[in-house]
Amino acid sequence: MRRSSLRVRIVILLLTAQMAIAGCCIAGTLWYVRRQVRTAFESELEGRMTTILAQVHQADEKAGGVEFDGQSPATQRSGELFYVQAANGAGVAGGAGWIPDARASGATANSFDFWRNGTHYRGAGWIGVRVPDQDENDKGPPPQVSVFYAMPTTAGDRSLARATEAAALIALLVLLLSALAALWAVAAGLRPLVKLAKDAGGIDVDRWAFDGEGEALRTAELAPLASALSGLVGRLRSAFERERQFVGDAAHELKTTVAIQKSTLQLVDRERLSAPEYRTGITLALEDTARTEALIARMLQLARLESGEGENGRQDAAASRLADSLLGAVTEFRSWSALKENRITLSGDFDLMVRGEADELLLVWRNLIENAIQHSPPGALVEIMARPAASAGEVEVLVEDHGEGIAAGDIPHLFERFYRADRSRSRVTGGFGLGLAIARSSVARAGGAIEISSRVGRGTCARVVLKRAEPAANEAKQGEEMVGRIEREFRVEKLHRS
Amino acid sequence: MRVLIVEDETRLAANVRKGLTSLAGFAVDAASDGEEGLYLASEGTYDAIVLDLMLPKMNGELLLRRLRERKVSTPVLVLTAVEDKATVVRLLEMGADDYLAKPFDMGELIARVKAVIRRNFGHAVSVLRVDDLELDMNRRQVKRAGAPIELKAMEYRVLEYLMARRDSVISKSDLLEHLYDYNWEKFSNVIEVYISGLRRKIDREEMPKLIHTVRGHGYVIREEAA
Repeated sequence: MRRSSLRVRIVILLLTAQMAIAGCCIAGTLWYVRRQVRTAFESELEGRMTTILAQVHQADEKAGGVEFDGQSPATQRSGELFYVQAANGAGVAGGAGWIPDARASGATANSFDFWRNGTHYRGAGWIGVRVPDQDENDKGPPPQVSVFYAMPTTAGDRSLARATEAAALIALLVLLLSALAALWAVAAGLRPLVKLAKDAGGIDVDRWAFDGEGEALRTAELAPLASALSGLVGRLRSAFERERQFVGDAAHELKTTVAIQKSTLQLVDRERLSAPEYRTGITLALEDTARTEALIARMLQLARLESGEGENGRQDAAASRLADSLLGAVTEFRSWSALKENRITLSGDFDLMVRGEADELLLVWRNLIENAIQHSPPGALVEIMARPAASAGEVEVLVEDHGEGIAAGDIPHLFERFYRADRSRSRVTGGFGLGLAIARSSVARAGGAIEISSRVGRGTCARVVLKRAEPAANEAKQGEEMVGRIEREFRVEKLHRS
Repeated sequence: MRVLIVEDETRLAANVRKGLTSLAGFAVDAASDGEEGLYLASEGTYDAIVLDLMLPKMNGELLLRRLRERKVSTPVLVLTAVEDKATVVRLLEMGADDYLAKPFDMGELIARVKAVIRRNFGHAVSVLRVDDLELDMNRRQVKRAGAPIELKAMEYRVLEYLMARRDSVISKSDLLEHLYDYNWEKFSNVIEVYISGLRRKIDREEMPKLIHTVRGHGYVIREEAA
């Protein structure tokens, strides 16, 4: 692809404009000079004619003409032509051959142009002028004559040509100088842009720095671009750092689970064991493998949810009944909660339709309920409540436990990937610190929001706000049936319909 | 020898403990977070510390710095998944003695723990000698004048510790601290049993005595002054 140069384009534009201006100036100047030359020529012509007229008066009359002492009039220069005609049409002096007929008959007194022997002439005529100081009784020349005079225009043409040359030369010189000045000025003007481009080129995956803001930000036209670039670089840098952190954390978790598996197997391998001891070793190794598998599954789940985060809050997100996902998750934890004697109570309206895929929302409830049970002392209640939110068109779901609570310092980090408020404790319960990150991503995809509030020693409450969706007529009935079935199967507290 | 493991991953800690106990014959304590780890390590009764870097409450790097600030010179072997060389260099400069990346080989871990321990006692090789008595820390074999000697596990531990610190007088409580995990108090009267067992097997009548009792102080293993 041929590149077009901004600099060349600007200079060409400038020069074109300048050439147009110069052309106008030259044309104007020439028009003026030509007029001046012509005026001067014509007044000279008139001067000559006045002289001739005077000489006619002085001259001796001869039969059929006027003699200028046998000579041409003193003022006449070589190449100039003249003719004096009496009123009766008889020639008085000079030759009439050069005068066009129309002029001679006295049709006009204006000046006229003609060619003679390859030379351009301009002539003029006075028809029927009185000869000055003529005495009535004098036997001199006739009282009224016509005078014609013509001079070659060569001298005037030459000075016009010289003026043209001079004007063109000056214009050319000015154009050349201004082209150089324009080139320099444009280059200087574009310097911030060039620097900006260079700085932008310096941005790299390993070097998220954009230091071109200075000069570019002071340039009005470049400021938006520079600040946009700088903002972009900042966002990319933090995104990259997050990714790097995630990869580092993920690697740490994976290596740790592999380290556990490996060490378990090596212990089985190195020791001389009895058959039951081997069995125990293999059981442990299988447990470790299951843990690794669970970690990988969770990481992939999170990656899948986050890869689609661009679609956050899409308006066309599928709608689902709250009961479908929420009661499904509650059912999953039935045996574990029974084992820990944690009763799960449900209250509110689970018949509400919300935005979000049922299987993605299931991940939200699953993680929240798992956390709630995990942090509940035996016998404590885990309370789940669903109701329309204070703001119209939204539904809120609360999952509350009465466990040990979360320290205020940990709360801002809860949704970070691999964050565990109490790692040693989570290890026992098998957490990876991904549950809440998964929950948040799922909620975000449904266009909702999630927050956690906690009081140490009193318990923790997770609040999920989802957008409400209108139920389709036939789905409403299915929903009723589903809720009824879950109620029977799970023997939950009677659902309080609002 | 007594080793402390600071590792939050309970399954991994259990495996390392099992490996060091059954394969190396060490007494092992485990701490599951940085604060507990620092508290235990500061007592200074460990012959080596196996330290994970990513720990709750206090990370391994900070633990190591605090430990060295408190002038505890116990050898530390860092165990971590972080592999960038800058971190490794920083840790070594901060006072770590060795480094092992996860997932590690159990045999290598044990060998490295043994190596930092014997280095700390000033032994370049893993075969410890006092006169014609030889103890091979790797094979866990004992010979006197070339003849193999069969020892019970606890007798071996006592002898290994005495020989690692040859020529030093070691008190009974010192021995107990380094041979048992945190439950050591209840074993206080068994040391004499192990010492007499060792004397019977090592210092036979015709041979020069190597294990000496220093009254009121403890025991020492050394060549009889000429």
